[in-house]
Amino acid sequence: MRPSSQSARWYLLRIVPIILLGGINLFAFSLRWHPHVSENYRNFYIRHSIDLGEYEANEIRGVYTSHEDRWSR
Amino acid sequence: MKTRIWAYLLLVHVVVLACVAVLALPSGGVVAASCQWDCFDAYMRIARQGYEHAPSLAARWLGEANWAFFPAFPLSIRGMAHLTGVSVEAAGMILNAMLLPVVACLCYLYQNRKWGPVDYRFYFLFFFTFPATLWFRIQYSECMFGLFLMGMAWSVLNNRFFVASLCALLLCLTRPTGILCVLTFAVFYLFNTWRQTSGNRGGQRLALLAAPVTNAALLVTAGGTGISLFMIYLYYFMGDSLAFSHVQIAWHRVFHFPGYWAWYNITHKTHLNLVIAALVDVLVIYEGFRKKLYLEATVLLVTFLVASSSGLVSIHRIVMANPFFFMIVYAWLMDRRPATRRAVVAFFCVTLLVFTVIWFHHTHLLY
Repeated sequence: MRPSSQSARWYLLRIVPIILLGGINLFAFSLRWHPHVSENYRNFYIRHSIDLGEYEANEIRGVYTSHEDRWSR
Repeated sequence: MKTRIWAYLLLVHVVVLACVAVLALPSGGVVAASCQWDCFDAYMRIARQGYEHAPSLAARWLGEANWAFFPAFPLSIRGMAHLTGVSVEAAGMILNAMLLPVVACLCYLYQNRKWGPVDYRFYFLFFFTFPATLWFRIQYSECMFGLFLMGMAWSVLNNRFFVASLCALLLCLTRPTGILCVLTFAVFYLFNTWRQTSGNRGGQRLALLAAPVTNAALLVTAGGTGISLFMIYLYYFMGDSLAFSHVQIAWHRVFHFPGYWAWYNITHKTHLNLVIAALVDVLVIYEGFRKKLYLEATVLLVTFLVASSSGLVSIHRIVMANPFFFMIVYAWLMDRRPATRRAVVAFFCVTLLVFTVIWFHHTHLLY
């Protein structure tokens, strides 16, 4: 391959998908800052501030009664 | 590739597959016997019912959820089951049986080009009897991962970056470690191009590097998109885009510096088989560098370091069932005398059959 001989069309055909795919990447990675989960989930899976037993107890106690309900708490 | 090479490849594949099927007869047939552990607990559940909305509260799977398993493989077997009308377990087996010869072919072409000439008769005999190919035949994602990895490697070698990027995207939709392979490939590609342009100076060199940088960026963004698509899906499905990583805590997987878990297992005298497997991995990676298979050994090293930082469970499968691991062992074997080569192939053949029987009997030794 001779990199210097590439045409503007050659670059365009690559830069357009790079921008599109890069946008998808940025969007996906921005979602990590806004997890839409319950406090119980956040404490066990993300913060690791409670153990599995406490996570289980919170779930069984019925504090979080449904998946949608968890999101709103 | 010539017809006689394909015919030989398929013959060896079918013979080994037939041996595996015969060994499975006392365990209820190859489809049922081979579907153990992650196949049964994760892939088949995803293929049948999709991903779980919430973690399990059942005692056996407490806190676990199948979000850790990437969708390319279970989606493919779901599609195949719909198309053919067979069960998802059989679809997984059939899919891997179809993909494995393609993986073998790509490995042969790649190694022949980079390291050859390679004698196809010995190469395929060794490939199909290599013990780690156990995970290429059963309903696990290793075969699909190997296919996309080798597809990417072969395409990069031939400067076909659109095909390589497509493979990179699918690779990262198959297993999360795919992104490590993609990044290693991009860095090596850029490094090689940098070295090739060393005769030029300043702006001229930068101009020469513009096209390779564009190619590498395409490869990396495509690989990132594989993971990103799954992250977006998880976010809208259950609320946490990184659930595939966060859920690892349910299996007690926590990040520590490399070597911590090996030391932990030694001091607690637990899972010593995994410590031995990790040691074998390190030896083979070292041999890869010694053989100047730098890219292949680096892919394995990065995968090993990241995977072993959160626990040694499955470390043998994650590293040994990578086609580059096989290539390094093959390169090592070619330095030995013909009698030693034949003895090693015979030993590996017996080991594969023993591992297969162990797997069929649902023991934890190979988990």
